[in-house]
Amino acid sequence: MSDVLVVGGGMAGALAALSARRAGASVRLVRRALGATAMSSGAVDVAASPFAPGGDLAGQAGDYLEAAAAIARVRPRHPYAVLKGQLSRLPEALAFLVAALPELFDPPGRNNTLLLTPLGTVKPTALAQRSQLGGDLSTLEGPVVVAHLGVNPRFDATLVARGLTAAAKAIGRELEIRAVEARPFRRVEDALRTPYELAQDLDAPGRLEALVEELGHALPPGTRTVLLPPLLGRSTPRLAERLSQALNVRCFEVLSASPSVPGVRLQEALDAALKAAQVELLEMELTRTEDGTLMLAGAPAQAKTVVLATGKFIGGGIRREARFEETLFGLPVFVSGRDAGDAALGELLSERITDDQAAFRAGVRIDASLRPVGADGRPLIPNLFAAGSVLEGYDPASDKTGLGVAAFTGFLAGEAAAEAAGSSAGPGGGASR
Amino acid sequence: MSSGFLHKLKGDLFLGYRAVIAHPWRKLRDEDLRTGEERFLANYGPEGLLPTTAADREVLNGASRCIHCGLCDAYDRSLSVLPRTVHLGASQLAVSYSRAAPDIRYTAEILARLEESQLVRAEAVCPTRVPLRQLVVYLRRKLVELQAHPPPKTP
Repeated sequence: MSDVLVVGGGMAGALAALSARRAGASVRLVRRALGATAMSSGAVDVAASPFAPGGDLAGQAGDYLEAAAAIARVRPRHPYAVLKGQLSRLPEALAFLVAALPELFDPPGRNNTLLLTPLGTVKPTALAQRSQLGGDLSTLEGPVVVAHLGVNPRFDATLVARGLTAAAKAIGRELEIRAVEARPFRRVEDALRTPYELAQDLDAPGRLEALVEELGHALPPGTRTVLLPPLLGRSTPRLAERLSQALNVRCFEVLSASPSVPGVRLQEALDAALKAAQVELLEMELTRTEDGTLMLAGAPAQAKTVVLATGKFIGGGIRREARFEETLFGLPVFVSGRDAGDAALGELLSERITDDQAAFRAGVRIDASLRPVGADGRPLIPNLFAAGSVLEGYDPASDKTGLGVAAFTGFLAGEAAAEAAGSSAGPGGGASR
Repeated sequence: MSSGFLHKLKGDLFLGYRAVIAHPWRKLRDEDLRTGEERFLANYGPEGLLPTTAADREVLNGASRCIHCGLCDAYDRSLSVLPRTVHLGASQLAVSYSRAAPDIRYTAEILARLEESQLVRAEAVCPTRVPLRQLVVYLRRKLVELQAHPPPKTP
């Protein structure tokens, strides 16, 4: 029997497992597959001011802890609001994440960085991978070159350069920005290769030198910064640094859309951290019998406490077929402050893509101890905790708090589960309903 | 009597004539003893339109769960041994190769060189549990069926 069973292996599940391990618990993590973390931009958004509209880049670049506190004030169902008593521990959760993944992250500053996406838009983010961080619009040193790498069809340097020009102007910065093309991938077949293959190719011996030579020919004299497609190494996080040293120019990759090399890099770094922390990682389906016993490969998955970090619609923690369901324990699903139950999907979605989409905030309601609760606020299963995007009140894909909430709630849930396991009755105390 | 009633009566009488007299008479004189399925296959098989069984539907429903995230491609080991001119990645099993029955013929080379064992990890990481290896089995089965109904030779 393990002290803590974590269900789900994305950001929330991994941080829950790592923080429970730090608290001295034995931890088993079970996941069915990869989820939204591996599809993410690879950066950790914590919060952007709810009072700064999308176009107000200067407003979005502010202090993310203040922004999180503001979100807690104005959005009562957001996890930051539910956990406002512990919101002061958000920096500690981020520091814990950075310490667990030292190859990927440097300690974050107080303010959001403004990073470019492959669509030429700008995203406020608190914690970016080292290979992405220098692309911060607020500190970018010009002249800037956006480089297209040969036949890669998923990245349009001209589009990104145009977006960067507009964004720089919006925050009052005059930057000289150009798009150029280098051709490290020359074969016609390269156009058909996945981003993961192109990134893996750059990991191979001798390929960095080839990229350096190609970029060296393509860069105009005086270039200070080069922004590249998010392909800088599938498993070599410091490739951007090596490239910068070789070219004597600051080189960074932009954020990624899905399919995302930095997202997979983040997921694989989390997996490596779990292994290093001696978390037992199992990839299989966890089921629940009618009497509430959790089953793993035909045997009861015995644990003193359970952390539910199964994600939302992509991860499979929340499903809506005829009605909204939490898929493992059958917990009630809430949206916009009420039990989603049989609510018609049309009531919760808008035809306009830019409108608020309440359905994507559907999830499990928790109390301030991260225990899932019913409409009356009482815990439904005493030894169960929940974290990440399975929670009610936030849309991880659009509200700029995605992986930040996952890291924060995972960190707290792991601690709480370890503490509860320490004081629980032991065998027989497994989560049941 | 209204003209609508007369129209309906005329239609019903015609259908009755077809059912009671014309169709049985035609069947009696018909020398083609093939079953309906055999005739269907003779007509549509060369176009690649074969009957879809309940088992086929189950596999194809699994393919329809694909959300095009591309994560399987990150772990598709066959990409390291097959050229991109042959195989474009595990995600294509769901989004392309199994999409249209008439086009399954064009996957012959891929299926000849693709090994299910190389898709184990790709299938395991799929967030929506698309049965990639079952799709390969389905495509191979359909390919055998299609080979029994070759397309007509173009002049």
